[in-house]
Amino acid sequence: MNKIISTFAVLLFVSTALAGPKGTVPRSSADQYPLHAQDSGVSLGAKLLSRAEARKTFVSDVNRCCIVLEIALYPAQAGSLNVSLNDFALRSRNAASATKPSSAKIVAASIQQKAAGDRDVAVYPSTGVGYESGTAYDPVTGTPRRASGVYTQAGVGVAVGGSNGPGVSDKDRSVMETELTEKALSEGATAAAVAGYIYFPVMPKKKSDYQLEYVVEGKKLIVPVHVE
Amino acid sequence: MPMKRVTFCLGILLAFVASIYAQDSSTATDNGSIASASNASQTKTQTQDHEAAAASGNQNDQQSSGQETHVRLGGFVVSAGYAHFSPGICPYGYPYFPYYSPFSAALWWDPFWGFPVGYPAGYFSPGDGKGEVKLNDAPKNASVYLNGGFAGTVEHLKSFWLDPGVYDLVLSAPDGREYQQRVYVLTGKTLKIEAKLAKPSIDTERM
Repeated sequence: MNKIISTFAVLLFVSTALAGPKGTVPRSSADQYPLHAQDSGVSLGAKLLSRAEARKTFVSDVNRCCIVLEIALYPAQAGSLNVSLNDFALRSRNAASATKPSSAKIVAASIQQKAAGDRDVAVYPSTGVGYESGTAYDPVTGTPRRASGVYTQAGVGVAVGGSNGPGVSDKDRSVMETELTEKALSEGATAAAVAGYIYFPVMPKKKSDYQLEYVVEGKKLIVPVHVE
Repeated sequence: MPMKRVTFCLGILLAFVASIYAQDSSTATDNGSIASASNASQTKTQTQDHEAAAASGNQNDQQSSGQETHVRLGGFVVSAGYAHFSPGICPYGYPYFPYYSPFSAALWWDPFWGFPVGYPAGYFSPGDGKGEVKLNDAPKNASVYLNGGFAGTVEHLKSFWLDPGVYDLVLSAPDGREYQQRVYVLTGKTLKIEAKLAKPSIDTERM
C-alpha cells in the first residue's frame, strides 16, 4: 500500500514539475503597474502591451487579432480570490457593449486563420557564366569549324502562392496555443497575487480610449486604457 | 564582346547582391526580443525575427486585420561551367545545355553533418516547416540541452533549426553558469536568444 502511495506521490511530483509555467511574475504591488485600481481589499494592476511589446513578448503574432493586457490581481489580506476571465471586460469609451477576453485556444485559431490568408511571393534570381569550345557545322556552308566562347546567363523566377509561414500549420497553432496558455492569467481560487496576460479580440484603432472593467464581489473596478 | 557580356552579367549580380544587403540592413531594426513569461525579472532574452513582416515594413502595423503579402528571396543561384561540343553529338544543339559545375559539390556540403551527439544527423539542419533558433552571447564551450537531452555545444549550435514545438532550452557552461529558457518554435520564424549565463539560484531552478 505504501508503495502505491509513494508511486502516486512521485508521479504527481513529476507531472507537476513537467507542467508548463503559468502567467507572469506579479510585481510587488498593484501600483507598480501603469494602470491600477483597488476595491474591497482587492487590487488590480494592468499594463497595455503596445504592438512592439507584444512582438517582443510573444512568438505568436497576437497583434493580428487582439489587444493584450498584462493583469495582476492582489487578493485582500488573509483572503482568497476566485480569478475568472469572465469577470473582465474591455469597453470602448461610452460604448454600450463590451468585449470579454478570449481563451488561448480561440486566439491561436484566429491567428492561424489570418496567417493562412496571407500571400507568399518568392523570388529566385539566377546567374551563370561559363566557357565552351568544340566543333560545329557552319549553318551557311555546312563545313565543320572550330568554335569557342564565353557564355553568360541571368534570370529570375517568381513564385506566388498561399503562405506557409509562421502560424499556418496545425502544429504551429498548437504551439501558439501552448504559449498563449502558459503566459495567460491563470484562473481559479488564489490566496496569493497572480499575474498574466489576457487577450481581448479587438483590433484597436490608433489613439482610441477604452476602459478595462473587472467585477469583484459585485463591485466594478474600472481602469482607463489608452491605445497610442 | 564576350568580356562585355561577362561584365554586364557580373554588374547585374553585384547590383542584386547590394540591393539584398540594403534590404537586410533596413529591416534589421524590426527585430524584437521575447521576454520569458515565467520570469518577468529577466531582461528581454529572446528576439524574434519577423522576416516576413520585415518585408512589408510598417504596413503590418496599419493593416493587421487584413490579408498580408510577404515577399521573400526564395534562393539565389550562381553557376559556372565548361562545355565542349562536337558535331557527332550535338551539331546544332543548344551549346549552353550542360549543367556541370565544378562548384556543385559545395552545394551538398552540410555543416550539420555529424552534429550533435545524441541526435540523428540533420536533426538541427534547415528544412521545410522548421524554425530557426540563434544563440547570441553564449560561450562557445557551453553545453546545449533541449528538453533535458544533451544536444551539443554552442560552438556547433550557434544557429540551429527545430520542428515547431515548445522546448525547454538550457545552456550550461563548464564554470557552472547556466541559462534556462522556454522557447516556442514556429515554422519559418527565427528566434534570437540573448543567452546571458548566470550562476543558478534555488529560485530560478524551475522556470
